[in-house]
Amino acid sequence: MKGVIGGFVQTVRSFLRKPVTRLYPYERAPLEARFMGAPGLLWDDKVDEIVCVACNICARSCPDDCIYLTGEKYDGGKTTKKNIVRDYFIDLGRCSYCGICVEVCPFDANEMSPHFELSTYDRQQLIYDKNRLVDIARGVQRRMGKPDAGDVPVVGALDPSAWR
Amino acid sequence: MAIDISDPSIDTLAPTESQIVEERNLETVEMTINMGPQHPSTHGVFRMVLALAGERVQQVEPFIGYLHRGAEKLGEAGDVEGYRKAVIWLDRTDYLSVWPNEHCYMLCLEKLAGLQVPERAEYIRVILSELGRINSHAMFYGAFGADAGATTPFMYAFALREELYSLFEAVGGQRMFPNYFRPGGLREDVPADFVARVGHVVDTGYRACDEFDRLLSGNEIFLARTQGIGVVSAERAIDLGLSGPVLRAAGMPLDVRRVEPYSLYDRFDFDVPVGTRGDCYERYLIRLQEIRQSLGIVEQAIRDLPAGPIMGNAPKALRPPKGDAYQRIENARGDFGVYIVSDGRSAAPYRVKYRSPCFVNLQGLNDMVVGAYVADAVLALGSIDIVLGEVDR
Amino acid sequence: MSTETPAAALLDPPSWMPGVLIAPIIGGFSLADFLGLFALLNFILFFVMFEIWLERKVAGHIQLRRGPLHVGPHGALQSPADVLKLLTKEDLMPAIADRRIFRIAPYLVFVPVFLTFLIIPWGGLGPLQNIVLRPFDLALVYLVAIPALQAIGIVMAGWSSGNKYALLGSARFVAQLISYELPMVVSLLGVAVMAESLSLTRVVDVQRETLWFIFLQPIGFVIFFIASMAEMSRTPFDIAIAESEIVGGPFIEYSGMRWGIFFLAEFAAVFLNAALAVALFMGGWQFLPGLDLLPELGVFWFFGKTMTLIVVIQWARFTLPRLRIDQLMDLAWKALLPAGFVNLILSAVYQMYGFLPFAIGLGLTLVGLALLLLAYRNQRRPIPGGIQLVSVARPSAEPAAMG
Repeated sequence: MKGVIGGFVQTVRSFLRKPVTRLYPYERAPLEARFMGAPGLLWDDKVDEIVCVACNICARSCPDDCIYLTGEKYDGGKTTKKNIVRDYFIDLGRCSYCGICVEVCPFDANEMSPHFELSTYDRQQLIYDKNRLVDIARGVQRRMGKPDAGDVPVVGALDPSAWR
Repeated sequence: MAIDISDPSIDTLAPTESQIVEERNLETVEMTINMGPQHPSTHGVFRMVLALAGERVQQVEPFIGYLHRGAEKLGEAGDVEGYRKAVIWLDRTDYLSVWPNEHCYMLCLEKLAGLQVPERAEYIRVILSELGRINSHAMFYGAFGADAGATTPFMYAFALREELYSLFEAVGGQRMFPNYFRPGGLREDVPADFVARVGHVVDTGYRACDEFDRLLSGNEIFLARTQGIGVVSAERAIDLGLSGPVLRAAGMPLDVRRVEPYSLYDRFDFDVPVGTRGDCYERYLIRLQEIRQSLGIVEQAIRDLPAGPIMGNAPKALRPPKGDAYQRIENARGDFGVYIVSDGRSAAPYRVKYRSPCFVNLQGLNDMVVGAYVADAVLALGSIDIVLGEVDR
Repeated sequence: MSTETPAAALLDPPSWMPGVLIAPIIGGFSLADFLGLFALLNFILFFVMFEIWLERKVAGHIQLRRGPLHVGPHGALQSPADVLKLLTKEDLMPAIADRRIFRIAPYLVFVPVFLTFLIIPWGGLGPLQNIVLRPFDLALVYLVAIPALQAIGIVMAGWSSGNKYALLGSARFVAQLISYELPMVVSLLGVAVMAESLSLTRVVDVQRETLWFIFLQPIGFVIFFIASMAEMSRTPFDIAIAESEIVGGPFIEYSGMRWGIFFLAEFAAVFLNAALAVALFMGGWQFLPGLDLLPELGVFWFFGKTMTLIVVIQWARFTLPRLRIDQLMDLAWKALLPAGFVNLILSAVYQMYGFLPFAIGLGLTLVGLALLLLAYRNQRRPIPGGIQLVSVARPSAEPAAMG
C-alpha cells in the first residue's frame, strides 16, 4: 500500500504545481540564439543584391538532395561577381535542417533562419523559391562558422508576419 | 469462427450427438493476432504476430523493416561531404540517443583519420552524450508507464525532456538532431551560459528522478505487473548477444564505458547498476539508476570542464587514409558500434556499418514473451526499449 | 408509486423476477413519469459532459498540463464541441461486421446504466422531499441485476466487430463483470442486513437515524468501491479497454456517435456508481453524519459527496497502472469475496448483539486483515529482487576481454 499511497501523494503534488505547458500560439517560448530553422538566402544590403553565386556546393553537399539551383552569367552589379543565382529552390518538405549547406558555403551566402512554422495545406507550397528564401532570411546575420559572432540573436524579433 | 448456416452439415438449432461429445472435450483453439505495425505500444512500427491460447502467448513472430531507410547505404552516398552526410542519417536511426551515437561516429572517424580532439571539446561531448542518455531513459520511463497502463509518467518524462531539449537547442541549434559534433571537435563553442544551464538541468533531473520513483517505482500494482516478467538469464543474454540495461539486469556488470573506456570515461566516478533476476522491473530500475549515474557524470564533467579550443587540426575536407576502424560505445540501449571503411580517395566512406543494440536486443523477445500473458508481452517489449528507427535502419 | 412486496413473494422467484426487471419501468406509467425520465436523461447527458470536462481538467493538472482551455471559459464547452464533432463524423462499420448487432450494441450498453438511475434517492429540493423516480422496495436487487445487463451489449459489440482485439476485450469485460458482481452483492448484503431493508430510501433513512455505513461498514465500502470501479472498467481495472494492449477492446471498430454512446455509458456509470456509493454508504442526502442540516437542500449535499467520489475515481485513474487479468481475478475471488463474507458476519453480529460486540469484532477484523496483508506480502517475495550498484574497476591499459 505504501507505494500506491506515495503515487497518490505525488499526483497531488503535481496537481498543485504550475503547469509546464505553454499556450503555444499565444505564448511563444523564446527561441535560442542558435536555433536552426529553415535555411534562407542572404541578401547583401550594402550593394542590394543576392550574395549567392550559384557555385552549387550546397546542393551537392545536401544529404537530402533538397536543393536545386541554376546560375547565370552576371556583370551588371557593384561587385566582382561573375555568376549569380537565377533559380534557387529548397524543398523544405525534405530538408532536415542539418545546416550542412550553410557550413560548406564558401561565400557565406546562406544562413539558417528562425523560420519554423511551415504548415501548409499543400506539399507543393513547401518548395520555397528564391524570393521566399530571401524573405525568410531577411535581417538574419551570418553567424555559423564565425566564432567571433558569439551568440547574437540571428534575427531581431520573432514576428511571423515578417516571413509571409 | 463464424458458423456458416448454409452448410447442411451444421445444424445450428439442435446440436447433434457428436457435437455434444465434442463440447465435452473442449480444446482451446489458438488465436492469431496481429500486433502492429499500427499499435499504440509497439514503439513505432514493430509488428508481432502472436499465437494466443486464451490470454497466453504461445508463439511470437516479429516482423521488422517497416522503417527501413537504408541509413548505411545512404552513408556511402555523395561525392561531396560524404562523411558529414552519414552523420545526418545516423542521427535519424536512433532518434532518442542521438548524442551518444554522433559521439561514437566521431570517435570512429577520428580513429580512422588520426585526428586529435581538444580536451574541452571531449568534455563537452561527454556532457552532451550523458544528457542524451538521460533523455532516452526518461522517454523509456514514460513509454513503459504507458505500457503498464499509467498515463501520467509520460507527461512527467516529457517535463524533464523539455528542459533537456531546450538545452540542446541552445547548444546545437536543433532540439532532436543537432549535428553538432565534428571530426576533430565541435561545430562551435558552447554558449556562455552553458555551465549554469547544465547545472539547472542536473538539478531538474535529480528532482524528476525522485518524482519518477515516487509515482511508479514502489507502486504495488506496478511491481505485480513487472516483477518476474520477461526474464532473460545472464547465460541466455550472452548467448543472444544482448547488451545494455537488458544484459545488466540479468546480472552482468558489462558497460562499455567501464570495460573498454572510450573518450574520457576513465576519468569519472560512476557505478554500474546491475540486477539479479533479469526481469522487466529490474530493467526499469536500472534505467532510472542510470539517469542518476549520468547526472553524476555530468556534474563531474561540468566541474572539470577546461578552457581551450574546441576544434583540433582537422582538415576542412576530410579524406581519411585507406583502412577501416571500429568504435564501440555504450549508448542508452546498449553496445553501439560504428564501423567505417575508407578507400583513401573519395570524400565519402566506402562503407559504414552500425551495430545497433536494439536490433540485437530484440532477439531476446522470444524468451521474454512466450508463455506470458498478452499484457506482459507488451511490457516485455517495452522493457527492451526499442527504437524502430534503429532496428530497421 | 411503490408496490409493497410481501416477504412471501421473495421465496417464489418466478413471480418476482420479472417484476424486479420491469416494475420500476411499467408500474403506473404517467405523464409525470415521462417528464421525469426525460429530465433524467437530459440531466445525465449534461452531467456526463461536465464530468468529462472535469476529468480532462483533473488529468491535465495532475500531468503538469492545463487541460482544455480554448472552447468557452477554461474550456468548459469543450465537451459539447466534442459531441458535435462526434455527431458529424462518419459512422464507419467494418465490412465483416454483423451489421444489426453492431448497430444496437451501444444502446444495450447505455440503457442498463440509465435504468439504474431510476432508483437513486436524490434527496430533497425545496418543497419536494426525497426525490426518487421509482421508490422501489427491491432496489438493492435491482441495482445488481440491471447494470449486469451491460455485459450483453459489450459481448455483442465485441463479437459483431469482427476484430480479434474486440473479441478479447469483450471476453475480458464479461469475465471481469461477473467476477466482481459477487463481492459487490456480498457487500450490498451487509448493507441490507444493517438497514433491514432492500429499499435504497430506507437505507438512507437508517443511516440518518444511526450512523453512515461507511463507518459501520468500512470493509463493505471498500469492497463496493473497488468492485464498482472494476465493473465500470476504470483504471486500474481497465483491462477490457486497455489501449496499450488491446487498443480499446470492444470499442475498437466504433466511430462517431456510436462510439460516443459507449463513452457516454462509461462516464454515466462513473456517476452512477459514485451516487450509489453515496446513497449506500455515505448517508445519501444527509449533510454530515448525525447532522441534518437543511434537508431542503439535500440534493446539493448528495451531489457534493458524489462529486468528491468522482474526483477520487479520476484521481486513481491518473495515478495507478493497470492490473493484469489474473491479478484482477485474484483480487476479486481471493481478497474481496472472503472479506465481504467477514463483513456480512459482522453485520449480523451488529443486528443480533448490538454495537459493542460489533465494534470489537470490526477492530479485530481490521487488525487481522492488516496481519494477513503483511503475511501475504512477505510470502509473495521469496526471490530477492532489485538492483545493486557495482563499482566496476577502471581497467588499465589492457582492455578487458568481455563479450
